Amino acid sequence: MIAPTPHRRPTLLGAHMLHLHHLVHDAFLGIAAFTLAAAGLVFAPQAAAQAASGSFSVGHRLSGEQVQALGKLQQVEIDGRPFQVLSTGTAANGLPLTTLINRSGVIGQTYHELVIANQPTANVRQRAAAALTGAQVKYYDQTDITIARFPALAQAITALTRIRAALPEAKVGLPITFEKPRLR
Amino acid sequence: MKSTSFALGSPVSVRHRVSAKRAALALLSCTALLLSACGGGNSATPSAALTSDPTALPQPQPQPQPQPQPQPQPEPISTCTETGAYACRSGETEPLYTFQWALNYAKSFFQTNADGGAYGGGFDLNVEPVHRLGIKGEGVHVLVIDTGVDLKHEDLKDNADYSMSYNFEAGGNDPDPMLTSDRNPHGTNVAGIIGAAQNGIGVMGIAPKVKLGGATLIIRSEEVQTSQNVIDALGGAGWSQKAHVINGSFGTGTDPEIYSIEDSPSIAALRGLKSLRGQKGTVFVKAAGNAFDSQDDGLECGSLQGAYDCTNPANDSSTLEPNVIVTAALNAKGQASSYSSAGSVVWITGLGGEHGQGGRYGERSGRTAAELAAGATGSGPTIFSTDIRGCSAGYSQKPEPEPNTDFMRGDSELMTGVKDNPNCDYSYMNGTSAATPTITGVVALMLSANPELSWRDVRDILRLSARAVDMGYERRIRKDLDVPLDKPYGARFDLTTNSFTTALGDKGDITAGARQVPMELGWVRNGAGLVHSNWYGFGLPDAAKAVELAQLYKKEPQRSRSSAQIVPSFKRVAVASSTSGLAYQKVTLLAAVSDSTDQIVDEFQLRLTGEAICLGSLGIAVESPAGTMSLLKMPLDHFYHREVADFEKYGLGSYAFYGESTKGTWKIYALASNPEFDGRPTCGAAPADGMTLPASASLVVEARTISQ
Repeated sequence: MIAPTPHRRPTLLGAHMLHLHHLVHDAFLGIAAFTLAAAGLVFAPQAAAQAASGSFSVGHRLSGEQVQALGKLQQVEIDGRPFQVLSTGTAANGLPLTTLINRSGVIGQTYHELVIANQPTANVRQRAAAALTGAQVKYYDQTDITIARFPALAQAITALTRIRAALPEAKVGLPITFEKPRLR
Repeated sequence: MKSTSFALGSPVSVRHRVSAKRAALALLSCTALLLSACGGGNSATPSAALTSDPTALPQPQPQPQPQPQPQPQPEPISTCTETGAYACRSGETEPLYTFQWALNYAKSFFQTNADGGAYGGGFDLNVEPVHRLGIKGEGVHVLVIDTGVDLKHEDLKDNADYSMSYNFEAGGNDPDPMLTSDRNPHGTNVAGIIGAAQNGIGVMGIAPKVKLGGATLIIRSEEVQTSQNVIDALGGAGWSQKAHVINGSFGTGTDPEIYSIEDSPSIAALRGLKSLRGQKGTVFVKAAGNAFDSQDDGLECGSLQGAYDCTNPANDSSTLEPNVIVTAALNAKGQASSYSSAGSVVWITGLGGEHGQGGRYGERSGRTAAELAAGATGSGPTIFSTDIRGCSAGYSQKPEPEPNTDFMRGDSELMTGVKDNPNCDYSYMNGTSAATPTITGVVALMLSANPELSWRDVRDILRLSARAVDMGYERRIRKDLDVPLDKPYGARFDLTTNSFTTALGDKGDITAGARQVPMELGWVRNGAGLVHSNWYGFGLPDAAKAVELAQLYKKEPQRSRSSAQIVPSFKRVAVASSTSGLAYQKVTLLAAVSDSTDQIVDEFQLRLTGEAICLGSLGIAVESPAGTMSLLKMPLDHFYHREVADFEKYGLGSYAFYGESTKGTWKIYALASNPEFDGRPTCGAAPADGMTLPASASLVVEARTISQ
């Protein structure tokens, strides 16, 4: 079912003594087939080749040289943090998606989803409706959470500022995923 | 060093309740000690774990505050009123029960097929007394967020709840993993450990009458894990709000995460769980991780692999939330599973076993008689459960399953002529992924006995019922490696040479200017009289005790604690740099923070933001006002391999101070090792002299105490 871990150190109890969780995880690592290029995204020109090879998966860390080789990328600032935009467009599931590189060279992605927490959804409806214009909004009444998904990253960044102003007591963020959870 | 003086976190509006809460805590603390001394009711459960080797305990800490007071024992559970073919009986009705050592070690196949390298502890969860009273999880809904669950399986279908399920890849409410691109059996195995039915076939779950749902969220299709889907699964959607307990046998932790609710939909959703289940809070049980001896996937420990855990469960920021019950794994030897991640956010220990590679059922250690005679240990059994149906899918499949044992191939015969697993519908699995559902199962039994328990009650009862295991483990020398280690886990680590010395360390070694520190403190008794371990949390629960306590809470509801908990903001307590004395290869007191409030500690948390500092060479220890020392981060960890030099709001936490007073001075130490390891710098900012931080380096330390 799952291939053995090839790089297991022999200091363990023989190379055959493999953890199932490692094996499962290796199956996850075998997903180089995940290619953003196939997902309808627009890449910076120098990045297209690497995208096709599947080297832009979430969590992958690029060296400084690798980032430099990508050429001049669009810069964005989210919550005071600088990012370079690797690609933007629509994912295979039809959702808007932007792939970013943080200052450490780690690749992350966002579906342009603003998360508003610690705030009754009624307040969000009343006081932040204007800032949510154009977004697909889902209200979680029982847990005081609202999610707003914007077509473009720039819209989400603008809305972040506006919602914070409208709801200063709320916890509002534009989460970027830098690592996908693994089975344990 | 920077010294500040203010309360950690915001003032809490319920201070007037502190005295009453403290009195209640004292009672519960005493209960814990009494129960620990009494041990489990199962003969297979060593009952004298806490007292069998008293010298293994650390030296007494400063006088516990408050003083424990006498506490009545919970009354025995009432008589069984269950009806039906399997009424008031435990797993003896199921043909594969003999392999389920986690439920009854003494009666298991493994007890009578002993291999000295694989067995010896004899611990189990002591669930049979609960089953015999007819308490089997009825009325409790458990959601497994995983790879999906084969709810049509013969041993799961009677407990399936499709209205509590969702398939994020295929759409619809059938979480069948075969409908996903992964076809991964992980979630089906997890579900069976919790709630495989008692029906005369296959295995039996710990809570065989729970209702089970599945969510296919942890699959390789990256497009599944949107913020919306994460929140939907974690109590946001109507179907997930049906869950009373959620099992999370997954996690992150390769790179330092930003710990804030604004940056993590998981944190937002987890905090929202507290308001569900009729304001009692949905219980969330999560795996600690499998990276203790990892060499894989960005979690490499280098040449010190196996000597200590160079990773940290806290690297998954969701484990820092108090309503996440972080679960480590124990093997059939009664010792931590070789892979089980260790850290100060571990709350409890479940049963996960080892690798199951040897023998017909994974029962052999893989060692020769001569090796065993020389004291070697090795592998051992894992956790048996349900698998995706059929011999062409799942862990058990032909022709070469992994592990490739007779049972996994479907060829084994415990009774001649009768195949144990003829259709490959059952398999076994290890990992904290397997240990976590053993705890989830116990939680389901507790909630079945008393549905009014809040998430905090559940967490406390797990702790109160727990047994300290593997006493003195910090003095043990690892013997399951081909090249055995020659120094104990608790040996002092030299911050200059990045190597272990032969001397056993203790908390007294962690002082400003020191150059050798222990990497493991073992079981630590804190100022409230509670014992905690980075390896085991508060220990291994005893299900019978846990259910007795759940019933006691029902009888005396004033014991229950509200689901609401204030999480104060972090406060900056230090900005360290070379000019403030922070340097590699030594211990530095980062801050001595005076807290003037007098509340009861739930969790102490830190958040670090660094520039030009090798995070992989930076350890953190915290000493409470009561004198309890806790290692929150190792001075050499896998971040060296990631060459992390800049990090923001990287979170750490510890439950070692649980129950102590917040009042007094908290000391936060940096344990910085040599930023060169295995012949290369641990990050690009490593100084040439190996000691002096660059002028541009800074470390911002924030702290808070979350009170009970």
